[in-house]
Amino acid sequence: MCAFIVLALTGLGLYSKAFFGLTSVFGGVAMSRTIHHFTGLVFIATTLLIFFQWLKDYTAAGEESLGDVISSNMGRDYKGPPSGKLDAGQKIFGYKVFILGLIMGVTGIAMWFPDFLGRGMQQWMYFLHNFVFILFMLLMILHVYMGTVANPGTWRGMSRGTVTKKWAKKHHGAWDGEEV
Amino acid sequence: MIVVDTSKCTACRGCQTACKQWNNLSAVRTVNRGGYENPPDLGYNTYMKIRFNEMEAGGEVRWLFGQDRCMHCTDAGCEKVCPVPGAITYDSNGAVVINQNLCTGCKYCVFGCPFEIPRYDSANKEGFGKDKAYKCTMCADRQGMGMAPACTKTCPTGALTYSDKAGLPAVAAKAKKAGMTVYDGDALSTNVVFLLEDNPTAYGLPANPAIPTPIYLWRTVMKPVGVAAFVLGVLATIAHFVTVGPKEVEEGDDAPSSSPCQGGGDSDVSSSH
Repeated sequence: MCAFIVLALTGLGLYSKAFFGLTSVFGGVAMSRTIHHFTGLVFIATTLLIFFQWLKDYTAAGEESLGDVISSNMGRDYKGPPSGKLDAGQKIFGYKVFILGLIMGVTGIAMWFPDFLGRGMQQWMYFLHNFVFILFMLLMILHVYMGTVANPGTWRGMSRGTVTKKWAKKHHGAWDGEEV
Repeated sequence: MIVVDTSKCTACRGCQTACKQWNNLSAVRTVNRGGYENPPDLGYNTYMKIRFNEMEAGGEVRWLFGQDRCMHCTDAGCEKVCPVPGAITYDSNGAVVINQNLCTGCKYCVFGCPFEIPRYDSANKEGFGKDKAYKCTMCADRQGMGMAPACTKTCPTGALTYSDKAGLPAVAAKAKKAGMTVYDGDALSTNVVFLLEDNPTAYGLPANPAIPTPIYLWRTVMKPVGVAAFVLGVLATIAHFVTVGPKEVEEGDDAPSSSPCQGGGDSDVSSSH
């Protein structure tokens, strides 16, 4: 997550002349580029690590229907089957981050070393990096909203590593987490 | 504007030499590749070169002399993609100039140019000069002092001339009457105008020059799309919050169940497996 924030801020400073002031925060354009490149490598590595670390939970078979998924994500009264460690929305989010994150990584590396692809393909790399970032940004707005304001008790799961029993019962009824 | 009248060019390459002399550019070590064209490509120290296009047409050998050089577009791809404000600018004479003081060496301009002109130098120039992009400046420094670009001043046949862009319609009319085509980059409206005796491709010029589509999408389309996406995303979450509202964990949720994690009160559950 920290890598993502650093990447987003350095990337914005580099992308848009309107946001160029952000580069001063990181010590100038050249430093912003360097930080962006190496943080990007960290981002690729951690995206792969987290996805494969939790692969079992991402691929755990769920019995939720599409209607359940929508009601769980957007509504308050969820009537579908109880979720395990990851509910349906989290699994979908996980796949999205994995795929979009890898696209950002691949296009980013192509932008860092632009001489290895054909000219036309290289030009599309710039566009894809930008377009996928916009998708990512939309995902993050939703993710931050759902993880903080929309579902009280969730943020501490990331900041502290634990959640309350009541929260676990309501949101992840079929989860067998350890009691602390 | 610089007018390149290919019917008058003798390929003496005085222009190439004058450019190097004025801009203090070093020579390129090279080998004979069987023709007069040299160096093989533009580079960080070759802003312009004469291109010798040999072709056979109707049993005859034709030898068309063209130029590889920056076209100084009014709507320039290089300026569009450059991330550093002020590193690539338009000056009042129509020249598109890279300021190496500000250039960060990202190479976006190398890939954003429809004519494939800017060249990047990784290590050859000493110290400050390396890791930058270079191209023809239309002698912006000379123009600023009221002088013509070095190439136009030195051309002995008048193939290269320097004049006001307002005179373009007259120049174009005269060229068309002589059976030549006018090449000024279509929508790019370049400040370097070629008068050609054949198709652009015969001279190594792109037939339909335009800002490349992915570059256009990247730099022109995605900016408002990105802003709109951000605003709509935030508005959507606010709309959801005031209508559906947060999913509170309420007192009544702590009902007894057969879960092994039963216990009084609100103890914590962790996620380490």
